[in-house]
Amino acid sequence: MADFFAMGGHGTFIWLSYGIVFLALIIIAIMSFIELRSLEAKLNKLKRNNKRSSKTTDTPENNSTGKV
Amino acid sequence: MHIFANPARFVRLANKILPWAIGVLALCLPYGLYLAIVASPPDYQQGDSVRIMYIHVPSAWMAMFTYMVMASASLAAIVWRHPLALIAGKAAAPIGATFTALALITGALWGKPMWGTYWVWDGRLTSVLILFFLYLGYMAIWQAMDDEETAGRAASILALVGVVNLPIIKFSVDWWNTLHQPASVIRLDGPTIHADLLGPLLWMAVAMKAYFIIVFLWRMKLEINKRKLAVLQMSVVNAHG
Repeated sequence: MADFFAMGGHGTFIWLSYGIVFLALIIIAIMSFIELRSLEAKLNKLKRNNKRSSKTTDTPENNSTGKV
Repeated sequence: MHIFANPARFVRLANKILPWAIGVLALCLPYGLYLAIVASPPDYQQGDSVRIMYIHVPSAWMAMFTYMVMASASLAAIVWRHPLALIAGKAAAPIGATFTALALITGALWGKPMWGTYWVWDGRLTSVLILFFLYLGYMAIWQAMDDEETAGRAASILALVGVVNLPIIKFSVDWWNTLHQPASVIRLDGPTIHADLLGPLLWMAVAMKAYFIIVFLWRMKLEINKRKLAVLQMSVVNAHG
C-alpha cells in the first residue's frame, strides 16, 4: 500500500497533479451549478410575483421588443 | 420573438443532453482513473510519473478544443449575430481557461521529475501560456464593458485573432527545439504510443469531454437565465414605476 502511494518515488508530483485537477474541475462545476440554481430560483420568484401583481400584457413571454 | 424562442428550444435540447453526458462521465471517469492510476503499467523510461500524462494530455486537448468552441461561437456571433453564439463563447471561456491552467500546472509537475525543471521558455509551453492569456483577455473584455453587445463583439474579435495560436501550439514541438515530446497520438501516420498507455488516456479524454459538455451547458443555461432575469426585472420596473 505504501508502495502504491509512493509511486516509485514520484508520488508527490503524481498525487499533487491529480489533486489539483480534480479540485479545480469540481470547484468550477459546483460554482456553475449553484449559480444556475440560484438564478432559476430568482427567476421563478419574479415570475410568480409578476403574475400576481402585474396586469400589464408586456411580459417577457410576449414582449413586443423581442429583446433577450 | 424568435430571439426568445431560440434559447427556449436550446434549453430543452440541453436538458435532454445533460443526463447522457452525466452518465458518460459517471462511467468513464472511474474506469479511466482505475486504468490510469492502478491498472496501467509504469513507463519503461519514466516509471510511474507517466501517470501524470493521463490528466495532462486530456487537459491540454480540452484547452485547445474549448478554444475552438469559443472561436467558432465568436465567428457565429459576429457573422450571423446569433444570440446563443455570444452566450456559448462566454460560457466556454472559464472552462477553457481552467483546462489551460491545469495543462500548464500538471505539465510543470511532470517536468520537474522528468526534465529537472518546472518550466522552460520553449515553443510549446510559451504558446500554451499565451492561450491562457487569450482566455483571460476574452473574459476581461466581457467584464470591462457594460454593454453586453459591445463587450461580446470585442471579446469575439479577440477570440478569432487568437485562433492563429492553435496551429502554433500543435506544431510547436516540430518547429522548435524543445524538451517537450512530439505528438504521439494525433499523428498522420497513426498513434505511436503503446496501447497500454493509450487506453487510460482515451478513457480520461472522453471523461473530460463529458465534463466539458455538462459544465458548458450549465453555464449556457446560466447565461440565458441572467438575460431572462434582466428582462423580467425591467418589466417589473415598468409595471410598477
